[in-house]
Amino acid sequence: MRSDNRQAVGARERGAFRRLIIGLAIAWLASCGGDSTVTTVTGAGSAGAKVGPVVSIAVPTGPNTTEIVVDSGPAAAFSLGVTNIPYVTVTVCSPGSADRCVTIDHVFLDTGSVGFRVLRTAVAPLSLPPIKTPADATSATPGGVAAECFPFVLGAVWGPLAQADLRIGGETASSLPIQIIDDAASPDYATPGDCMAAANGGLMNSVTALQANGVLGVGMIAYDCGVPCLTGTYVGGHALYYACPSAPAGCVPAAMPVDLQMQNPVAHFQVNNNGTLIALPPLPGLGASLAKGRLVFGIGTQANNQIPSAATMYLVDANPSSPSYLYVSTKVGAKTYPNSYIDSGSNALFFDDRTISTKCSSTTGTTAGWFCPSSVLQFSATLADAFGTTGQISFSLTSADLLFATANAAFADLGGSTGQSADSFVWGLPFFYGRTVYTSIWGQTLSPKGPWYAF
Amino acid sequence: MIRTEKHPMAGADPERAGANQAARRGRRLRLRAHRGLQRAAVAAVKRVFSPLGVALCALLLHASAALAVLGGSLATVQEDHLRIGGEWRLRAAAQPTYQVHEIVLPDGAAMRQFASADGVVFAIAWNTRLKPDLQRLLGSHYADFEAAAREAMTRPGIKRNLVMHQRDLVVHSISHLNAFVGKAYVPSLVPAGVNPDEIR
Repeated sequence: MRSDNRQAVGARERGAFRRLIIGLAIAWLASCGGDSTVTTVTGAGSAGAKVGPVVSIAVPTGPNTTEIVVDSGPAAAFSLGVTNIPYVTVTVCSPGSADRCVTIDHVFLDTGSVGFRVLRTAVAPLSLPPIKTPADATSATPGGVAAECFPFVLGAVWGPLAQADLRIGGETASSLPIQIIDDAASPDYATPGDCMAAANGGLMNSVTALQANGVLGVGMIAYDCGVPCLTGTYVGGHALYYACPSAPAGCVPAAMPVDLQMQNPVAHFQVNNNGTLIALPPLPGLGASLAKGRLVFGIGTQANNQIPSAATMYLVDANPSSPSYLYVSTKVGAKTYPNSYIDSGSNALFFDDRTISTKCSSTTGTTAGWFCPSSVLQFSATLADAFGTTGQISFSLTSADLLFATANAAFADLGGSTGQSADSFVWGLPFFYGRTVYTSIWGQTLSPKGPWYAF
Repeated sequence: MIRTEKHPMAGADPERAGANQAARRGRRLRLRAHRGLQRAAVAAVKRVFSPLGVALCALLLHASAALAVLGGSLATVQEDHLRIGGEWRLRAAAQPTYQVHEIVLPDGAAMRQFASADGVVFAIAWNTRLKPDLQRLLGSHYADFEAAAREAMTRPGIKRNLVMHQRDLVVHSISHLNAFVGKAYVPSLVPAGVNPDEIR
């Protein structure tokens, strides 16, 4: 974590690189999306640990960009199936300070959530001012430190909100509400019972659980909750925001004004604030041990973030009352998946196709659903938005058993089942390899208005 | 519903204050919900003038203390509506062997319960802005879900997609931004001839 560990990661990469050069090396340059340059180095991996290919894309560059790495994670500890996680490095500072800062590597780059969430240990040297809930009689919200219980499908993160300046590349989001994820060892506030229920299988409160030091949510909305959080009436589901009038116990569900909620950091940048583009290199069939790409802020605001004329734009359903809210549609063969989305925070292509075997020998258990076809499968899918735009996407699937038998961390051909008759096609990180994917932010200045994807 | 009162660490004064506030909020919502429910029930009588429909309305008009949903009776549908509020409606089912009860909230969230002819809820499906309270929705089957969830959580990484088949329970669940989509069903309770594809 922070700068010392960052150097350690750098040393590992250099070591791996030397081994690759010594081995049988094949390098080639290929063009990818205009002026992009892709370098692939394939090594034979001499004695010692297995080393897979390192693949990188070096452009776009500039102050509105930063590097993305897909590697084996902050602990560098291989864990089966924990792959395809894109990371960036960010700097967190006390508001207005130029020197009270920490630099944090292995922050999970997530287009499927909104807001910057960071483990308490990673920002321990800083004293960040808490965000307070305004007392509100209508919603029975007391004044106190604001906290959030942010749930995933399984697991949740819990912890208070604080103000910080967040710097990524050359960009700064000033006085941004961020979430300090309470570590198991030193929770400031007891986890509410409803949050424990929302977490189902448990809280994610460690580097191991998150496989990251923090989460950088740069999805297509500007803040992370609508009507239920504004009114504080979390009926039909689990509460998100809490007011904590006293430590260590005593957090109660709270109404939360929009500007105090967790914010999309990109929307708070000065100029390049209307979206992102993610550029990742194409991968060899069995993946790469390290893939490096670029995260670029802003769309159409600089020379390096213009949408190519060949790109197609897919408008996302922005009606919260619609059953396909925030989704597009995917068709593969005769089957249509009306609830489809593109998400850097999902680590495979997830969809329902019962003709593909999920009988994998490397993963077992009632919840494992990787695809393990007996040969590489090729697919052609049609992506469609609600306004008549369609486009073809080709992809292939390789057995998860074969992929996980390598020492690699990045796989373009990894897929899994969403379960029989599920309506979703999840275009996770494999979709991003070999593409430049634009994700607009709803409500920001942009023509046409977001939310949409383009690639 | 907010379950502050069931917080295992409840006891500190602010906790109790929170529980009381939550309870007051709940009462207000229930009063509103009940008026809406009566209107919905009358509409349902007009719409579904069948013995089953009348039986359903009788259930809807008489409060029940029943909790939980999956594997429970139709009364639990009513309980859910009373608790949650929103608009209740019967949706067209793909087959005559079951009914689909839907609760739609002002934020666009929809929760559906699938009941067989004998009045047993054999499946639920959701498309919500908040993560649904599965402990409540899965009822007696929650323990199976939790066991599978704990197993899944031993594998690190953020989970945005879950498939589980544990004993007599199937759950599919995904989330993206603030859109949670999923379903759960009890295979042994699914009426003969009903394809799980119809549960959505």
